[in-house]
Amino acid sequence: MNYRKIFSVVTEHTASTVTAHYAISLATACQAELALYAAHDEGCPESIILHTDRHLNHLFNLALALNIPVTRITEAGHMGKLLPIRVQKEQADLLFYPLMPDEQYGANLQRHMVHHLLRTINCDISILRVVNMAKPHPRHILMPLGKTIKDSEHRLKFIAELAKGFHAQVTLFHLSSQPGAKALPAEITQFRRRLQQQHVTVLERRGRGEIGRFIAVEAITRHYDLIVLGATERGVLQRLFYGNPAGEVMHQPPCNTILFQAAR
Amino acid sequence: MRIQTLSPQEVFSTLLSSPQGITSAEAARRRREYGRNEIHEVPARSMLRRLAAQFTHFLALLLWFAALLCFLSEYLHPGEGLLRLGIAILAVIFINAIFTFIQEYRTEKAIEELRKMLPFRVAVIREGSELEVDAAEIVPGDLVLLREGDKVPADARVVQSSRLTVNKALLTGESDPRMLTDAPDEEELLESGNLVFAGTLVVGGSGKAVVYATGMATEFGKITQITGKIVEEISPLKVEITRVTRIVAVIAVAAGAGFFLIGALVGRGFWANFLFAIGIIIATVPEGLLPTVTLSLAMGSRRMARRNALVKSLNAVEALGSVDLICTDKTGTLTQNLMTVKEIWCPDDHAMACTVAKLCSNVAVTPHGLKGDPTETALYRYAKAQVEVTGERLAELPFDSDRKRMATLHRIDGKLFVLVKGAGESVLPLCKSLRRAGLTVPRGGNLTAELLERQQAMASDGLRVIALAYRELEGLPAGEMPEDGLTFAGFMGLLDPPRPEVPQALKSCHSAGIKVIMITGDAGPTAAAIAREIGLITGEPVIIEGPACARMPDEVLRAELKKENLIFARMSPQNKMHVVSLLIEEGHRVAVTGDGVNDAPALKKAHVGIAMGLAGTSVAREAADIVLLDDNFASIVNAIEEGRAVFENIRNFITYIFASNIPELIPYIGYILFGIPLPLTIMQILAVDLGTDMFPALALGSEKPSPAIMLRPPRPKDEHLLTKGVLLRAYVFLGVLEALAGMSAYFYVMRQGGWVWPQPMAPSPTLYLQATTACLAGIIATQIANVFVCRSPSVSIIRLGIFSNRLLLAGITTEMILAAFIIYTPFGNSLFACTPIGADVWLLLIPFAILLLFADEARKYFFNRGRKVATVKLT
Repeated sequence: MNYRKIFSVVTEHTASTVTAHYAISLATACQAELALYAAHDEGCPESIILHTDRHLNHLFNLALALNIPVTRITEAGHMGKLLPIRVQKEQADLLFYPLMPDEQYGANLQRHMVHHLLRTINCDISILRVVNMAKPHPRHILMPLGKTIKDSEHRLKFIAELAKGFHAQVTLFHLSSQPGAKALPAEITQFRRRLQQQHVTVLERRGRGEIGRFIAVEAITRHYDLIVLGATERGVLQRLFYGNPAGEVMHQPPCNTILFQAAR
Repeated sequence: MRIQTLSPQEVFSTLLSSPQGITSAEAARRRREYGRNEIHEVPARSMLRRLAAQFTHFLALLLWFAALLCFLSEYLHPGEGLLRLGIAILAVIFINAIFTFIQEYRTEKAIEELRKMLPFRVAVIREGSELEVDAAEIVPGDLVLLREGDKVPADARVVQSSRLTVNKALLTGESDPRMLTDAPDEEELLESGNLVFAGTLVVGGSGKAVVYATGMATEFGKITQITGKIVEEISPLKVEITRVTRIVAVIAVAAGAGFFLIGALVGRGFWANFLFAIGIIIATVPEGLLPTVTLSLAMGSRRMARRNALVKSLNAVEALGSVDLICTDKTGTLTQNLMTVKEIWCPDDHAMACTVAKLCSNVAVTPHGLKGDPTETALYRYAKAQVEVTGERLAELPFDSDRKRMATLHRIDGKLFVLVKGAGESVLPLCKSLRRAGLTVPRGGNLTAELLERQQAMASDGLRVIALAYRELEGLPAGEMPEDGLTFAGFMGLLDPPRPEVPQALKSCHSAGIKVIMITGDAGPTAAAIAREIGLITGEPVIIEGPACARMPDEVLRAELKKENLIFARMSPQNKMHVVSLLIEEGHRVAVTGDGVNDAPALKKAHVGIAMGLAGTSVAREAADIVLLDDNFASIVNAIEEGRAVFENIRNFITYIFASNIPELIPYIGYILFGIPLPLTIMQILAVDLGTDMFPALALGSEKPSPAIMLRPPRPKDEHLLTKGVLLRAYVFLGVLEALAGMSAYFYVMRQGGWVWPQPMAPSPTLYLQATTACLAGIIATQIANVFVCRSPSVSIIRLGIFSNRLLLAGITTEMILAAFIIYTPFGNSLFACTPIGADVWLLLIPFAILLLFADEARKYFFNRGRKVATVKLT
């Protein structure tokens, strides 16, 4: 089933406009409603409000020009408290959130807004780290997958809609720990088949090595313009022992990167 | 929607900018968001961590453990001399670690070199005014001004162009500049005609561009990122040394524990057994192995430097010897990078073609010779020898890779001429006539076919074909210089001749089982013609071009890589990196040559990255393991020969070092099993391992490559440094003979002094000291003979020539001086618990040394005879 209502958080940062471009394209592809959302804390500087407003105007007009049913919501208060309530109230099924410059996904103390939202939002979330303003419409998407795919239904829906929305091809990338493994794991094969059934062009790549590093090298050498990662649920101790590849990639990605978490 | 496909207005809208640029406040905001426009280092292993690694590898951990046990036992059971031993072991660890660290440490300068390629100041438009700012202050959305001579500060989309011409060689490897426009373009990113990239150079015209990516998000930054993130392939030698140390560690600990148990079973006390176990471990661990290997590699690198291969990473010395595949460039490596006109074809006389070639050119004549593009220089040189013509240049339409031609407006003898030269497909359609037998003939269908056929014939001979044409004008043109209505003057075919030494080098590669693949940016037919001429291919070439390679699924490309006569043409550095990765995944040991900035990732990825010293960029040189001082393919082959010799030499001195472990071990076995006084102390073992053995072992590392070394296939991946044969020869054959010598000398001195078995102590301490010194002398004497036999596992000393390795003689001399210091000086005596021994002991030892020499010569004889018989049977 397609997305019906997509939320996109807009801030004073230009990255939020790139994020909203993704939301707009997806809303066009799914014929979904779009809500452009902003929230300002008490005492927020006027320049921030003005910039956010300017971005909201720009994006709102853009969506209108594309005949997308669009609403703009601006609230006064802390986004961390207001947004989960608003998302629930509006029955949104996908939220786009741009990582702020100082936010780091997977940071040890997990105190950033992104962590709060990942814990409290009850719809699919797509967190974006924007490094390149010029690529709001990706053509080559890299999707690293592990041996097992958690929340495969949600991830399938998201990537399929994203690929269809941008007429992009998706490369499923699996890093194996077994030397000489020639075939993709069964779950990935199944995932690929189901994507193809939805008329998405799917390529596949395999490799061996340190996950975060390998994803970056792959993305650069093959000129991908978007990486879609699954959110890790590793705690502090697990991260200490097994590392945090998703956080590593999100911290300094070679291209725009989405971290996707399925609805709880 | 991609940035290159948008109109300038849409570009401004997408990047939230305007023709007046952004405001300074907005720039500051975006700088906080995207960071400064700087190339920064990807976090790599710090110097401290590298140093720490030298103290924490397997062998070091084993020694730490031994030292800890010594200190513990000294604390619990003082007076057994274990404190001194513990300190000695710690000294071994520190000497090993610091020495290896100093040799291996190499500053990563590649990133630093990349940084130097970005400009410092740049002109931007902010709030409608032109400003000059630090390049690091540029942000996405900034409108930058680009003028001739500028370096581009960030990736940007051109929104206004006045013949803006940019050389993107830094990123694409394509040396021809390209004129950019502000028109939307459907091409891929790097091929796009409206994008400029950080680090590239504006060579003509001017324009404005909106920045869309800065710092590490630029294509240039990505090279930095990938250069830093690529994990260098672990060199085969490193793998082997790790394996050797693990095997030795297991043997040492197992022997120590085993004899500890035996000691307990025969009723010896705990501390005696413990001391004994430590002694066994110390005797079995070759403490001097790592520094000797490092020094041997350093000597190998010096030999390679003498053969024009400058080694930057010591492990590359041996890694080069193990490669089974070389991916090589063409221009400058296989060829001389000296374009020359090989053929000229004109429908009439050559005069007009040579006039175009000479005048329609940007070659500069300097006191040091001609300077300029190699193709233009070759045309100019040829034309100048044919015609004496001068003209006044009035205008120029520079060459760019889209138009594939250059045009000039010249006044020659008072007449105005448009002179055009370029690729046939670009120039021929503009020609409406040609000169034949002094007459101007319109270019009809037949003539067109004839010209195309001629062009094709020259191209299939591997020549780069340049078409030359002209048009006489009545008066100065009012607008743009007219390039149509030309008269065809002729074709000139150019060739970059192969280096004369390359065919022989390729033959050596062939006999050495090394596959060579040409990966070039040139066109397929040119590459194939050169490949055929130098003997790289023998049959029909399999040519894969860059764009096809990029589209090919990995499985198909893997299958193609297995084919013979393979040539990759029109390859970009990205394509090259992909091919190299697949070859490594397929299990090859790959050496790759490169010269461009964008070659840096492939150079790092390969087992051995080889940069061109003359034509290469500093980034490529810093990313590589080896720099060729003469850019010559033959130097790679010479270096491979040296690399193979290094592996053989390391194996030889491992045999030498391991052989002395047995005479160090046997005394302990005698001590525990037969109750004899300990014939060799731990300090004496260290005197051999870290003293007398070191210099001869190093001399073994300098042995010249054997003549047959390049007639053998590359070492199989599963062939180890330490084989069963090496262990058997060292431990069971040479080691036992040495132990026999040491123990004989020991018993000789003890018996002379009145000791009889089973007395547990020597009659006097002096006698005991003399006996252990005799045992030590036995090991040293037989090691002198051993160093000769270890020069080769199969070739007789007579054939090698006793004096052919002068370093070996120097090593033996040093060994003897050290032995004299230990045995005959009071300081050496006190340090190693020795005392002088008489000439009779040495006289006793000499026959053992001779016996070892003859015994191994006999072994070699039978070994070689057996091999011949096997060969005859096979044939």
